Amino acid sequence: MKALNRMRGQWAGMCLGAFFLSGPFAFAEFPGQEKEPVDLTPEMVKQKAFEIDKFIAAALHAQGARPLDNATDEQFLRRVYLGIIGRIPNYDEAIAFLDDQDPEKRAKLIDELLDGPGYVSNMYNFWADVLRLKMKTGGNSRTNAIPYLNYVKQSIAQNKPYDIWVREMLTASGGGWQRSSKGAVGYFERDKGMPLDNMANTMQVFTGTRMECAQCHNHPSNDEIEQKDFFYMAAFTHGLKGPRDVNAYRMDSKERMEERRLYDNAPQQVRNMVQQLRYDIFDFGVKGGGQGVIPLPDDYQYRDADPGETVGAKTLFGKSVRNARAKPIDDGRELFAEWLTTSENPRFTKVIANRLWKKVMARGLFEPVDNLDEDPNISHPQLLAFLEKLMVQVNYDMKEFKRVLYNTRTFQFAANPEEVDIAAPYTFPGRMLTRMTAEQLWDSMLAATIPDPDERLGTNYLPFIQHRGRYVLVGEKDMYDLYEEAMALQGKELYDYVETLLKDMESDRGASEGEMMEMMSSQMADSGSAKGAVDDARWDGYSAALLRASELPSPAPPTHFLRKFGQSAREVIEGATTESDVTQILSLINGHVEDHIVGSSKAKVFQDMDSVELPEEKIDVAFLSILTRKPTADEMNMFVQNVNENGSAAYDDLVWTLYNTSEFMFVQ
Amino acid sequence: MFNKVDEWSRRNFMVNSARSFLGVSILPMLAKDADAAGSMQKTFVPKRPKAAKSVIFLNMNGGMSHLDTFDPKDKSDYMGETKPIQTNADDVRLGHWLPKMAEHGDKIVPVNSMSTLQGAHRQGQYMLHRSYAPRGTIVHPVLGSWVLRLSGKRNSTIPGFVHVGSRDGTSSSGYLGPKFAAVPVGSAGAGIEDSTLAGGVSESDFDRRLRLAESMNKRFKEQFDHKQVQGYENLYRDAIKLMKAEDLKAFDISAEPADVVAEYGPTRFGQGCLLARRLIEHDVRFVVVNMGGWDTHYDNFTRMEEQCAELDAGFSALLNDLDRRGLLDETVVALGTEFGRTPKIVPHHQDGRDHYPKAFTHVLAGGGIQGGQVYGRTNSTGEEVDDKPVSPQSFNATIAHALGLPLDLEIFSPTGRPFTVADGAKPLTSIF
Repeated sequence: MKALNRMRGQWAGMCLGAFFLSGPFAFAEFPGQEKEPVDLTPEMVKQKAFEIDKFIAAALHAQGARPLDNATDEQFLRRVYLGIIGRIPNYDEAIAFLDDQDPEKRAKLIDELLDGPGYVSNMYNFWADVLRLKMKTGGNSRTNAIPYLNYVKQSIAQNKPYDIWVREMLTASGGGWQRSSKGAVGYFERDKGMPLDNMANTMQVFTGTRMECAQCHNHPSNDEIEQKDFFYMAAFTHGLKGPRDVNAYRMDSKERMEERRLYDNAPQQVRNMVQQLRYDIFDFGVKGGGQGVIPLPDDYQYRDADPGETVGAKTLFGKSVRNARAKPIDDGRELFAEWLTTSENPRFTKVIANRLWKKVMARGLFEPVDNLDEDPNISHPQLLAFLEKLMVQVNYDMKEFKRVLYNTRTFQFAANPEEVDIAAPYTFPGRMLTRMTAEQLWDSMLAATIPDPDERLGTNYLPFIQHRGRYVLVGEKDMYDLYEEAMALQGKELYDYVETLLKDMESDRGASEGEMMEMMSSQMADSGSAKGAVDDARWDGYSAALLRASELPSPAPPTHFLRKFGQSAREVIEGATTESDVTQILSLINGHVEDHIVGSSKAKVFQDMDSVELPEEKIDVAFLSILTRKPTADEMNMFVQNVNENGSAAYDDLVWTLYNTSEFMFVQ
Repeated sequence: MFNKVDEWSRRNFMVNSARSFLGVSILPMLAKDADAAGSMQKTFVPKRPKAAKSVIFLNMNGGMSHLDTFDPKDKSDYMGETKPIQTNADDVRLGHWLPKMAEHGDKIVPVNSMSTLQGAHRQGQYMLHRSYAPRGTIVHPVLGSWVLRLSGKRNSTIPGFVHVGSRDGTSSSGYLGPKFAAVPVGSAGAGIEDSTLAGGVSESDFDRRLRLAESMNKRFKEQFDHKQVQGYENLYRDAIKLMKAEDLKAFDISAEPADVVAEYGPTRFGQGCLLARRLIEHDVRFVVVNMGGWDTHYDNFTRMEEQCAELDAGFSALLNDLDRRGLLDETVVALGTEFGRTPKIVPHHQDGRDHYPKAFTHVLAGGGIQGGQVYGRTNSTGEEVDDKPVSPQSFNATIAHALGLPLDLEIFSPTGRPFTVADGAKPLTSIF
């Protein structure tokens, strides 16, 4: 396997020279199917980081510019926490790092954070924005997408190599709630009924190719993409169905008539439940390998083909893969996934390397990160080539890739005081100032509100059966069991089953929080994925709503703090914004900060302040908890004076004030 | 909280807060705003003698089926379960799911010849609200932001542009900046959340805290003199102004009598329409009310029944109420969607309908528009536009025209690119 990995490395090297094979409809085996993440030694990490810094320094030098100084420990600490685990450090964490005398403490902290549960939470938010992860999937489906969302979390927790992860999603088959499908089928389910949109989204997210215009007409600004090309691509994944193809019966078939009769004669409650099963079980999932053929639309308007004509799959760029005979095949998705996810694909690696670069460095080497069509202005082409190579070398291990980037000096330069022109390429003389994302803000507030925020798991992602707003039959059967049972039944048997099920659910009083937590903890022990803990005494007395963004419903409800601050509604790719509006300010001055922090003596920041005696010490604690630094002399004087004048109310003022500073909101 | 303190101390508190926090008093600031509005007035000459003042834009998110709503046909194989019904205007017919709207046919103009190239939701919604196709290099402002930019607020104490319901990137002010962005209201009943002081916080507490925050911010601002940082500081000023605004009660739909609440329907959309009417009454310039759920790929007709019941109650009550209060003439009510749906029914999707950008329907009412007529025409199956095609840009130009805004006035983005309110499109002047 090692030899194979090395070979893959060389492959990529060749590819970078824009050398591509194009050949007939033929494939070698899936190379590297069984490959594992690669751990670089600390020396190798340093070496790679140094090489990256050389690219940045050379480009700055060529412009007669110099990078800023190294960030202070405080600045680094806050930045690296926000970058890797998506929140600021709390008081204990800040002290532990700032007091550490180890000269290698920065690299040490990077390693620690990458391996903690906060990393999974943060990267889940990241991918939820890109993949538009919703609890209930799109179109008209009322399906619960929980297994898919859990699959994404698990893939991050397992640090699944990116190429394998993408391939799994593109080729997964089975029911959403089928244990063996592991939830990966949710990728197609997300765009239920919209296979063309799904293809457009896939090409945009993973290859930076914008095809959505070509769904309906030739691309207006890119001559190379015609409407026909879009259908060539869409052919690969065409013809997918749900696990039980309820719509397959002909309108007048005997089965359909029988189904109709049973349905019409059933009591309303049973009908509703059958519909529910249709959405959640029978129609939720993917069957079919992709037909490799597709009919052109009825309104096809160009002369090179007829409306409705069937065309075979053909790749748009890179290595040519095609279904030239235009006869249905059963492995279109495998072919497509293989073409998409190898390092030979000229765009696949480029996009993820730049996407992760931006995640770490705040700005991409080209932007937007998912558009390579319009001749992107790449700020550092050689660096990008280096990063692509690095991605291949680490076998698409995203964590290892980021470990290198976090260890660069480029990441650790001081914050750039200049306002950056977002229309021009960036030279990276220092970290660009950015507003925290909605999730970073929420989770950072949480850090000073509850203890061990990364370990507290809620009930939103549990696979239990919901009925009338309660979790029922907990401990007896969950959605996975329901899938097995319902899929085995047809016709009258199903209706009888539903009737019994309804009775059982109705008579169940619903599970308590504690019971579910207990179930969950045993399940987690089984899966071995999440590092979180069941809700326990540590969080007694804290609102159940005080969970990390990744444990709240995805997306959060429209009026939630997260949405006010720009969390994506998860309808469009990267729909999150950091734009400001007045409702944000209101929740900072009157809402969330008051409700859960200043107004709550249980808030961690107040508990930490209570553990010291002197006003000066308390002020230090608040500053470290919220701004990750100690106060200046002037600031100390100001707040001590306020304590002298207003007594204990001054500590409420202090905490409120620190949250209402620009310094809290912006990442340096 | 404010009802506990008397008017004098309340105003005094706000003035003090604003002065201490921003280094200015709130009163001259207001005067300055009035000036700004005045100079704005000079930049445009109303094209019509009696220009409308406000807009309520009903956003049908997901792609509303035109055949089942405002452009019904007689071919039953295309219509499925939907039947055409006559309205109180001879020329206007609707799908039978909209019986209450049929009593207001004389107030509306279905624009049945809408057509666009945008067949995906995001792109379609983007075009619908911004009149430009999405590009990787710039974010265009939505129509409400344009309207604020070109004609200013009518009521300086509360927001001029409010977005009710889920917003999904359809409410951004783009390159015009946060000053012209919509203030979101998640659900109508919630009003603007957190717009009063938290319990236990007195005016003097609040004032003291603002002073402390201001001192803290000085240092940061010296270090990072950035627009976005400044933008946040300005928003604190806006937030304080909002908290003291007498007209904040516009956001409280619980003040409405029960029969009015009932008329609009107990739905998110219905209550959103009710809130929109209250806001318009208090001189808010532009209100978007979002209604989702129109993406009926599956089981179109079951969904139509649910969707249209919600739309029918809300839309008809809104027209009725505005008319009753004499506000319809000065308020443009527009209903738009990103595209229509395939007139051909998709049987293997439980009789669904897919995206159809080639021909679809929007609706206009009020604001000096002559209701009871239909603009444009599709063919007998609703698949082709036969007469007077209308682009989303033209539709937006028509709204801007009703407000008397200058359609050709160029506004420059920060990078120096020129844009106009509706990308140079012509308004449908014949319907006024």
